[in-house]
Amino acid sequence: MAITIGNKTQANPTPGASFYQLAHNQNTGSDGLLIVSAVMSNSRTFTSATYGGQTMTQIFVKAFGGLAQYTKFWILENPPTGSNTLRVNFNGTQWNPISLYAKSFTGAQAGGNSINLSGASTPRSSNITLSSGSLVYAYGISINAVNGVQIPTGTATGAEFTHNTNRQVRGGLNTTPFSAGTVQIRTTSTSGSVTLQAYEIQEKATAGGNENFFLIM
Amino acid sequence: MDYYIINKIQLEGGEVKQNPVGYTTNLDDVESIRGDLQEFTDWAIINGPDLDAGIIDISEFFNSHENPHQIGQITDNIDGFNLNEITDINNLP
Repeated sequence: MAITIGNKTQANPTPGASFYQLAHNQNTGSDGLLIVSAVMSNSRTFTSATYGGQTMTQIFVKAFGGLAQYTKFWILENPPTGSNTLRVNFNGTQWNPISLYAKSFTGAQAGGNSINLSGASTPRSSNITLSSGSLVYAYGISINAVNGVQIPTGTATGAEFTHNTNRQVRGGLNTTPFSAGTVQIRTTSTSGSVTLQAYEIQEKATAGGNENFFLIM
Repeated sequence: MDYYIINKIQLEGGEVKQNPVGYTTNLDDVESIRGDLQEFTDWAIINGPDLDAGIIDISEFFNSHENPHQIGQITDNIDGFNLNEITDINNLP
């Protein structure tokens, strides 16, 4: 079953508290998957995330010393459907604006590969190995405007969001499933350095795969 | 269509709380409340170290400013949110 792209929620608020929460509507359908990326000043760290009261699974985390930023990425398989509260917790009161992005899928599964690179001179590129039918979500952080998220390199994606966390953050999602293999992902900024974070959203594997079989009586 | 959820930032029991007051799809409305948030954010960032150290309290902001509003989130599906559309951006709840 192919992946169906669902609802999106993004936020760039100033929390003024040790958590931030918002509502997000997870689409109905089998094999749901919710992904959440978060970025903010490294004056605080993200501790945990819940959706509908269920603890999300952390995929990667990185502190960026030069950028003075901190990011974390979570997923939740088979999240509760409908409108539920997404809550992200910090290790103290956060007075700086944060970046939150939540995206729902159905027909998807966890277990995808990821990229989690610190900042380096633009463009920032890396290879990722993908399963057949996968989509890729990627984002970059820079002091300067992040003006491109290419999935794969050479194919610009529309901005899923552009946020200001005292640094610039931009995310992109490709909408055409990949064939199995290795592709290069790229983020670009107008100048200076930019980070590269990415996650493979895998198509739900079907029992028995796509192989033909015969029943011998 | 993108729905912009507007939050009211207020002090409740000594803590900053953010409660959604409605939504808009009007980008002019979104722009018109940016100043609100900027004032709060600027104040919080400037005073962040003193706030963390307990030298000053966030109540000082609310003692001298109206409750600010900010875009709490942007979403493409508000089913189940139970929010009303904002009809007068100049008279937010």
